[in-house]
Amino acid sequence: MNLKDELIRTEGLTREFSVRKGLFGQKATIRAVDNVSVSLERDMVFSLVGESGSGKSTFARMVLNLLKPTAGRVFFKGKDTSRFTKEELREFRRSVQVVFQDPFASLNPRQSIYSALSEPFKVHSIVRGKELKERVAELLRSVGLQPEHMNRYPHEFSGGQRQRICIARALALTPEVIVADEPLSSLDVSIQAQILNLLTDLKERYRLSYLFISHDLNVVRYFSDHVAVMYAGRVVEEGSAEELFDSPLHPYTELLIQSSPGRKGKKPLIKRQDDQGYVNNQGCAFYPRCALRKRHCSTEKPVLKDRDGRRVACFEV
Amino acid sequence: MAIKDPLSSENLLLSIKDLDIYLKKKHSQVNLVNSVNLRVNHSEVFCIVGESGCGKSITALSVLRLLPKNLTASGSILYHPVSSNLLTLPEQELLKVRGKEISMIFQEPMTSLNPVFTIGYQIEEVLRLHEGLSKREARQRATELLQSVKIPEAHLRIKDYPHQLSGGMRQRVMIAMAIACNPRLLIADEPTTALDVTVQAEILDMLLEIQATRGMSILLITHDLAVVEETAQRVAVMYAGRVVEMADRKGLFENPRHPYTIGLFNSLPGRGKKRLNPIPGTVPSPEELPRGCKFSTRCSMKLKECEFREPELKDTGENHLSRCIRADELKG
Repeated sequence: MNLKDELIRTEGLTREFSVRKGLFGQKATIRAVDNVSVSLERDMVFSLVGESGSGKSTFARMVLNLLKPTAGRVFFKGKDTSRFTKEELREFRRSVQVVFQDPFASLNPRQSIYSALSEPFKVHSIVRGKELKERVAELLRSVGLQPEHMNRYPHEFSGGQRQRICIARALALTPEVIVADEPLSSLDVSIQAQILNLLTDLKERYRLSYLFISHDLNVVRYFSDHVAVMYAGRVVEEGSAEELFDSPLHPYTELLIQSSPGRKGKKPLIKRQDDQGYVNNQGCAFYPRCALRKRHCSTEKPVLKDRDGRRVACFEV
Repeated sequence: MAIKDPLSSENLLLSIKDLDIYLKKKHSQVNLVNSVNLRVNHSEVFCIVGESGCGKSITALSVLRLLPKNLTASGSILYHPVSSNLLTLPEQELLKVRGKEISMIFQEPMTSLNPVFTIGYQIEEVLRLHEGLSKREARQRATELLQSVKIPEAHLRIKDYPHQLSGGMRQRVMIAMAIACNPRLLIADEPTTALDVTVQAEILDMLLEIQATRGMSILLITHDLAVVEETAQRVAVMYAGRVVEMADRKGLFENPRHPYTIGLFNSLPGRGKKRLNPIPGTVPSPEELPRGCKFSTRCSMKLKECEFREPELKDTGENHLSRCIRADELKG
């Protein structure tokens, strides 16, 4: 296993949130991420796909060490991130960077671009003084912006340009991994394509690996090497992008692919009347919507099993 | 059935003529939509597609005179069944059209539903107002409507408040409300953008089914070419407040004849890992549009002439309109 250059690995990562049902209702726990074990190797684009509420962002936040898991562990280069020393954590923060969905919310409106981009250098005391300006200019050039832009403020930029600035900030400390949480979702198609090209170029130039989170299957198929499909907090299928999209095994993967608009030769959607009385936490979470379901699917949880070089969690495949 | 000419006048339901929309500022006004001409026929799905800021949504809003106060529309919007210009119709008359003849659904169903009334009450309100139904009749019809938009156990759900429903269910309720009075035209402004793909597919299928069974027309506003491909009979592509290309779906998807439309197609990730070829640059702001062709600053086929003279929207054959002087070269 260690022959492949493994950067991030999760083991049984789980996160629960407690919620109150109604104003005075009882407390309940929701398992947002349930026992997820995946690994990201160097030079790889690993994508998580799934619909809203499937737990992909919660998973990313735990990987980034921004949220404590309820159970399970995250390893960075073989080391448990929860047991990091201060120095190791600092190194981790430098090597693993993040780009969020909303470039409007991720830049401080009162901070000039220079200030935003020089901050990582200052925090990690890497360069100072005159060299700082050069480094910021270089960063801006590397994401297709002009060095003159550094004196401006976020409101002077369009959404696509702001996302470039966020990417520049993530690149500042020469990271090894970039976690990109829906980085294209708030952008127009022509700008999406520009950013996708940029991410591809940067990957080559700086030897980056990505943990890429998206709900857009066309983008995921295009951009990733390896894909994990999430449903209700669990990985239901995982494999190489090509195989997974060409011949999905799990009925949910198939449903996702068929639902994605503009697919030629579409088969009719798998549809099934919701089984209203079904309680989620015993059997397969996809049971109420599944076309292949059998009785035991409602009482027993399928686990991820190896199958033709892929992993899939379903009794019926 | 004989093939009807898509542009014959008997088919006409709505025609937008020379529509201009201005944003009033303190000492100036900014042109946001510039002489848009389009027509929607009976029982047709017509799509307007374009990126944010191209003017597609405000064009749709102007049809029902729902523009925010700082925007003014001029030109004419003829609604043929009552042969009147919706832009100048007295408010009292307009109320009879809005919601009854033409209704509208929006992107975010939560902001369009009133959180303090049950969904049943909100659908019944439409029926009592426009159709003069009694309370009991209205409840009966509202239940049927919820069934027709495939809400399970409609008789129970009717007592729910909007927050008790998921996003997809709320959009179904919006659609039920919009079709309550059997409108001839449904304007749908990005109806599935806020929804997950599997829900989006269900809602689109359902809209098309309703459209076909009721013989209704849909004016669909979207940024997503894939949605257009699945739904439209005819399409207008907008850029910088102008229609740059208009054609039937087949024509547009098989042989786009404007560099902007081609650029949009090239921006979509396809099957292979081939590098994408996106449109360079960004959309200019409406206050700083170039003098000639508005797309000239980003166009890969630009000629000297394009910088000075804005091309007209011309028929390039087979009712395929393009606003490009080199459209004939793109014809394949």
